[in-house]
Amino acid sequence: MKRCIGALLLVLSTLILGSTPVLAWDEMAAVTNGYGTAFYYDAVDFSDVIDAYSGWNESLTSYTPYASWWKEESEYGYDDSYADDNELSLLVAHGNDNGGSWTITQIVFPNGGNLDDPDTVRLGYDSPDNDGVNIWSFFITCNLFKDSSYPYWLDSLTGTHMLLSFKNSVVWISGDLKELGQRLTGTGGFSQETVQGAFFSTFVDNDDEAHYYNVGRILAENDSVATYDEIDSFDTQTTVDSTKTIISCGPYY
Amino acid sequence: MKKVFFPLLAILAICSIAATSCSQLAVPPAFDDIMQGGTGNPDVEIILGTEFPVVPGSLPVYRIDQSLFDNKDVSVIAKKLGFNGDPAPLKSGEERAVYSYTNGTQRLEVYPYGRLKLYSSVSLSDIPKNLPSDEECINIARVWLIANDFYPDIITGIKVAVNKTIATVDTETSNSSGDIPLSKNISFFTSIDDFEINLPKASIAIGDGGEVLDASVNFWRFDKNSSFDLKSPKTALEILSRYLSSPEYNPPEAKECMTNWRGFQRLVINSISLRYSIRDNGFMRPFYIFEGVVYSTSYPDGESFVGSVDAIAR
Repeated sequence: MKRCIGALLLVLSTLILGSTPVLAWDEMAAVTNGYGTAFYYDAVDFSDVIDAYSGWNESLTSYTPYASWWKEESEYGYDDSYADDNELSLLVAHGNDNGGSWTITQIVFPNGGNLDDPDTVRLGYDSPDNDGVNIWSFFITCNLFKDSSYPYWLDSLTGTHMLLSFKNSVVWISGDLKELGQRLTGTGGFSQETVQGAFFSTFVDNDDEAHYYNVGRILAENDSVATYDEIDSFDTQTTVDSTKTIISCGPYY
Repeated sequence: MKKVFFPLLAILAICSIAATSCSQLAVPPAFDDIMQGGTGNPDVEIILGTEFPVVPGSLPVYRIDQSLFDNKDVSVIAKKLGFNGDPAPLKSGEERAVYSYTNGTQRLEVYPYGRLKLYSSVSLSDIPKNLPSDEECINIARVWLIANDFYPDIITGIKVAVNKTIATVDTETSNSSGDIPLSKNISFFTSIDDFEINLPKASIAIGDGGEVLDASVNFWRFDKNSSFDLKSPKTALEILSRYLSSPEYNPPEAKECMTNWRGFQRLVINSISLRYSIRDNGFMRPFYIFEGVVYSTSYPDGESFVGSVDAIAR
């Protein structure tokens, strides 16, 4: 329904203004409040940078004990909310390597429970109800894509282009999230980068002891989206098949 | 009046000297501005497989010049590397942290505190088939640095590493290509006061045809600050152990300690060294670097471990 109204508004504005309107995409940021305010305000800066970029709207910036996203209705969740209702999502939360195959995180489903079952997630337009819109999800959390864990996430690539997170215990500096936004949008003196490039350039670097050991890992639908996707240049209906691409970067030594 | 005036001046002068001295000594805990995720494992087993190094009682901290490059310097570097256009513009009210240039598929960033980064965009469909040997990569990197007058005066070590890989996985069959190297990274290290600097002075990524894909070069210029007493290596290990076994997300040790893995079951430490490194672009300061292998039921074959502990005694 929301999409129909949006499409109707686009048609009406085209007729009234006589020109092609700018497309509207949404972004969200959810930060666990265990990180302290400096990192929340960094996420706010990220949202502000993206929101100021042509065609993007901030739909949600939350600061709660748990960074919520969503779960398929078929798995007793609320579908198409949070991450799946936004083209770009940024979720910032702790992740614990508890020795299990996958990593326990503070990213939770809106109906409660830790995300200890990535198999229940389907992101993007090709999810079971064909209604998701997510294109990229950044998970700033530890160990989420360690070697034993990331295969469980591949099935969630159902239309979303890339899931971007880390293999090991990520370390970041307050200001990194804003820099990620600036690299994505080509502001603050940075040239615009691809989504892949902006993520790796921000978090995997040899400029500071803090970034030196990070191992970033991207799960992508295919190598084309990983190579070319930019925040204002992407194909929302990319073909979904069973072959996925994994790119790892780091450590920087 | 004169009698009152001079004591006042003296007090002001003493306060001024004290303030200057305090600002010179103000070196914050190494990791008080970062965030590291996850919790430790109270049952972690830490095995010391090496001896503690012999270290001095104190070492100086260096302050990094934050404005080494002016606009003209930046322009000279950009032109030298073939970037003849203007840097990416700022919007009204934005502060410039970096000068960024693009030239076809390459991008250059120059930072006023004395750093450049060169990036190349490559298609991930073009999987490298024959990356040059390590020796060939070292030679290519050396030639590129010399040609651009970036070759370090003192080199204390060279490391070759694959730091970017690609893999494909079929979710129906679980067949995987395995990690395929996209480039080889050559890092050149230097030293200060006979101690190695942990971050490379220069780092060059070499691609399939022997081309330089990415590069980072540091032109650090630093002034010697005060000297500080050092923790003993044993004290540093105790801090590392408390951090790794703490069930809290941010225990007090997190301000002085940083690790690339946490929450594992077993750590075998193979090396402890005292090195300088950089935090927050501000200070070149001493750290104990603990290296080894960590084991967990989810990575039973082990992962490389690095832990950095602030070496300054507090």
